[in-house]
Amino acid sequence: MAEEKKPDAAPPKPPGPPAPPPPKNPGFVTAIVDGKEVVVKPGTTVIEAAKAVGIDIPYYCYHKRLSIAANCRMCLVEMSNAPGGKLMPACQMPVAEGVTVKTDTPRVKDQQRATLEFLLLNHPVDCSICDQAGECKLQDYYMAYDRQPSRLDVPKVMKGKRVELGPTVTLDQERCILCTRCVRFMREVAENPQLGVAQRGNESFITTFPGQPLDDKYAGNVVDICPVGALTSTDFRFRGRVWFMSSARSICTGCARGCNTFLDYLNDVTYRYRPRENDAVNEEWMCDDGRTSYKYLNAGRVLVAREGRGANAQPLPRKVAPRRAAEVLLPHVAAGSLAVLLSPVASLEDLLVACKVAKEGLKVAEVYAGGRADGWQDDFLKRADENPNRKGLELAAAAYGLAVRPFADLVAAAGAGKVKALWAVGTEVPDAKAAEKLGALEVVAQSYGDTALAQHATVLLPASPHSEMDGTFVNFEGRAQRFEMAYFPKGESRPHWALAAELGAALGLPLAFASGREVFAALGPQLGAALGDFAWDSLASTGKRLGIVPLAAGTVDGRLPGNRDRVPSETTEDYRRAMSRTS
Amino acid sequence: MSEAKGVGGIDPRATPGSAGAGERPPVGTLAPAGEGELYAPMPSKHMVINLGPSHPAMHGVTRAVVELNGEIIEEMKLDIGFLHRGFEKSCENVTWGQVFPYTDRLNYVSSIMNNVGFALAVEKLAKLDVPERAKYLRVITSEIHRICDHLTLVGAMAMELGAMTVFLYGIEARDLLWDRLAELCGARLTSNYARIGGVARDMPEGWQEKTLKVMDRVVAIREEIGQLLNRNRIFIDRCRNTGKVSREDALELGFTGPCLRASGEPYDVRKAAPYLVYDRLDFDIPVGSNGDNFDRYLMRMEEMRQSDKIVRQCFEQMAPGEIIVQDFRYALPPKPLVYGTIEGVMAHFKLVMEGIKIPAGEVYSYTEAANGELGFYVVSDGGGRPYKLGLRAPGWPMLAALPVMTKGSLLSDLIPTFDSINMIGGEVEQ
Amino acid sequence: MPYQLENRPPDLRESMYFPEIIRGIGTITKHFLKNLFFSRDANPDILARKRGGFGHSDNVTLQYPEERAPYAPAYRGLHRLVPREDGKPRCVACYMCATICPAQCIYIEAAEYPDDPVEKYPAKFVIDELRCIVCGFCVEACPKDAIRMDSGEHTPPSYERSAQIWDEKRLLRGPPVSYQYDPWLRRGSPSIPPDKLEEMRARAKPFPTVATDEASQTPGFSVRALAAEARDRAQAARK
Repeated sequence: MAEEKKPDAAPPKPPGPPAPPPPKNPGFVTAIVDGKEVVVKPGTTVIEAAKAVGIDIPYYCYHKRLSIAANCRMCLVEMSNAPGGKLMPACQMPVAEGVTVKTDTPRVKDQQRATLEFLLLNHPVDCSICDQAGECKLQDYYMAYDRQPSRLDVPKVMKGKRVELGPTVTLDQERCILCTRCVRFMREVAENPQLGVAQRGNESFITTFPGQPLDDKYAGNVVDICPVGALTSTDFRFRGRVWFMSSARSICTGCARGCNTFLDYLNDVTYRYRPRENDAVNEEWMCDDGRTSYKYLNAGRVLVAREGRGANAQPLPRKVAPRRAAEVLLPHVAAGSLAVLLSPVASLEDLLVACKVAKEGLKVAEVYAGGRADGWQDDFLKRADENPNRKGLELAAAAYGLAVRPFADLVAAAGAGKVKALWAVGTEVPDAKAAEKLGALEVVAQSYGDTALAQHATVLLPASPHSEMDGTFVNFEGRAQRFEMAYFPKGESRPHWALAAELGAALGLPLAFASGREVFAALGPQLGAALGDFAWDSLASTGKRLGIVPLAAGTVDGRLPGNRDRVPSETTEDYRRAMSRTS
Repeated sequence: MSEAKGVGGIDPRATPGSAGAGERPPVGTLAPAGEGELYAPMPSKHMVINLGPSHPAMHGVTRAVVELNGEIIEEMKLDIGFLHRGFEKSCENVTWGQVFPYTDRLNYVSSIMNNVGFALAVEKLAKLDVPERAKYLRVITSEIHRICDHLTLVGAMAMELGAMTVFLYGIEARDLLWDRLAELCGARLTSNYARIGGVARDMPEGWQEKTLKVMDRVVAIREEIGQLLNRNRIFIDRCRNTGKVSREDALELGFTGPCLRASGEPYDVRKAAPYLVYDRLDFDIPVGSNGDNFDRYLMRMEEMRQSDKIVRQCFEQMAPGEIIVQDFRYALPPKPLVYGTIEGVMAHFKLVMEGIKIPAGEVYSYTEAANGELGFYVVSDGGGRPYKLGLRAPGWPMLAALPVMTKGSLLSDLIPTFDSINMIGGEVEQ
Repeated sequence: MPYQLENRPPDLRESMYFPEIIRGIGTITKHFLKNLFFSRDANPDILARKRGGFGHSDNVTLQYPEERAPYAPAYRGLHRLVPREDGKPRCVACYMCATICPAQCIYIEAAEYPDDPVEKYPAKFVIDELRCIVCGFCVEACPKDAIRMDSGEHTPPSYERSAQIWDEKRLLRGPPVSYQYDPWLRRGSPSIPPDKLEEMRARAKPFPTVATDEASQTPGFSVRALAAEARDRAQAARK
């Protein structure tokens, strides 16, 4: 028997490093940032951990909804577990148990200054013509972290200045700091990698594939995430300066998703929408169609009540208009030939009052739902239904026991002669041609703009859209979302609920509301539990930003400051006389 | 006489012309002539007249309701507020740098002192030190404006007592100085010269020589005015022993500045709590003894002499250097940097859009303006706009003391008294 | 050191009214004679003018409006929008002046050049001169040296308020200004013919290294010269 040769036993393992101490808070990671203790979930980056205790670390390329690039080097901080004592990018490094992070040491400050200096070396002197002024991270961080004058004594690199990347986005390649947020966004969120970095080193620039436009439906978001003025919105280009504008928290009315927006306005003109963060609805994005859906708030508005069609149109004084409307509709109430058309663009408060008046004042049993025709839909944000409040319409009608019929039924009923009069709360209809057919009826219309149906109205009352009142939209999921008023109703327009209440009062219903809040308080209980735990004051009290408001009241004779409405150029005698002096 | 109070607290029972008679007959009765009396006392009451608000002698716009017993002022009530423009509230609406035109219009006769006072207050809050040359420029322009203020007072006072020539001489001198300031600051009256951290512009070429020549001329004019007024019996009779305020009363009433020093208290902020470069300059404080209008007039003349001395010393001591602090947090970058570098234009934009960020806190800072202690109480909330500005106007205590000063004096004594306290409507009513 | 003021009552001589009054009359008679025969204005600017000679009183009354008092370079007057060499305004509608104006008297609407390297220009630039407080902040705030207040005059009077509202057509006047770093000179512009570009670059002012009046005023543009020319014209018209 041969002795089984034992294989040589492996030499005993040398003692390894001591096991790490158990975490202070099991299941979490504990660290110290600038002397403050922070407890976060494992995998959290240092930059998020610092934000959790109120320490702001500057960054350009980091975005919490995009992948991490760590190429701007702005967020470098001192970490006690750094290899070789180097500064580590806070956006990339996960918090380790027991690490000490310092963000305000002289070394970190020097690094921030140096990074900014390098970023600014080739940055063009464009603040005066750049739309980003006032919301530019370079400006903000320069004043907060740098403030050193330039040391450059050679000309800067020149690249493309006004590159039309696509229908909605303009690129200035010189301003780009190559953080690649736009590239990562198109690749990861829009899932359409149309942008990329070309060339290398000093000469790198952002571009699309040669000959291809940036025409994705979500391309407008790169304008928001670009920290500098490289990517700017072509629609908003040079329209105004952002520090004059105030922001109201609003909801996009482009489709039934109800993306949360900031509505930027100045002196009762809406300039743009910007997406507002809401993890449950739209994260931080909006589609391009929604971005440009503010235009109807400014242009083509009906501001004075009028009576009669086409050439016979006469303006109606405000006090007289509801009585006239009631006069037009009353004969048909008794005869039962009255129809009520509600628009799912109107807010919940508008529709609640309209339904109450329809049920109790006009004595109808059903309402017809108008609204814009269906559009395109995708699997990200956009819904086919291009009306913000269809669900709200259904809920309001159900609350008052009214059946909801489609618009086609109304056209048929009108054609058959069963309907001779129409009360339209909102004149958005899916089929403009059909609106012509409705022109044969006696129409009392409440409308924002001079739409096809409004032009056929016997009595037209001017209505205020969501920018001019406080209210609620209910999106396709049944989620009720508040929007706040930006500016007071323009001209003589009033919210739909105010017009409907006046009509109801003229019909004998005692209705009077002073605000959307009162409407919801009075009529909201009709909805029962349909809105879940929605509360009227669900908009946080902070968040509305006011711009630099011009001095109040305008000039001595009532003109707005700067004479927006009266700018004579070459007409007055005095001007001619003044220009003819020779000295 | 205070039992029955009629309108405005005026006693309807008071009768004049009964001095020395003892018992006053009530209103409405005709007392027969007594033994040895040449006339029968007539029933009469005090006359209430209204001086102002539009009145050449009511500087600024001030309304004085004067109750007269013949020519004797029994009571005087002041009605102010006609020039209140909401300075303190308006400044809450603008950035720190935009406050300077508002301060120009406070004491509009010596506006640079308001600019400098406000700038010093904000710099105190921000703990900002100003370059040397800027300090000297501030002192030079402040003292020149002090001379202008005193010339205005002397001229107006003389004019209202009938000496029109003196007024025009004063205006000539003031105009020469204003021309120099127009070359330096850009405007004669609303100078807008000081900035947070320094001053707006440096002296142009040749300005120093021109200004010294002009100041020689102003000295000559001042001597002529002195010649015309100082020993003129009419002027002395009108001003001497009228509007007298004793030293204790002046201190109690809150007087500061020339009016306090004319009453005998040698308190001058430039000596008591020196700011800018006043501790390096050699000048004296004139002090009065009588506390009357003539003392206050002489006070202004002597202060002009001292201010002249100060300006000449500053010109000698001044060295070339920066005129504003080179810190992009507080001062707009120099124009070449704004035109040509991105750093300069970014700093420029941030300062113009958002204003200078002054650390949160509150401070009270006081300087010696032409009229007295000009105090700015500044509250900052850390942002680019003032949270609250409070102003201590130097003319306020003197104006408030006017009824006390003129009680029992003749109506014609009211005029030099009102002139000599130098109430400037802009600062008193803000 | 505090020192006492000379507040003493009039002595015997002064109480007699007349000695002091005669002395005063003597003072003003001296001025009267000086006015009549000699110049008395001590303004250095006036003294520097050619004097009229004996017998001709160098009267310092300016015959306004034909003659104007010369404005110092820094003296703030009516605004002007500074043109470029090719006649377009230097202004890029950055809104700095509108932001900093304490009276909010500037209204701007921006528009885009489709081809110029500068991209932005003011389609509307309106200043309400009635609201302007002549503080000069707009000049300080301009990052392009596009607005100046060196026009040597204040707003001319008018009968209507609307004539005091100056739009960009009325404001764009005066000598043009160019610097070597201006983008339309560095990159060229469709409105500048290529042969003139080099010449304009040579004429342009160099990059200023120090912030003096020269950096914000045009050399050779002298308001005094303008005033002198106006005076000569008036004299020629009178002959």
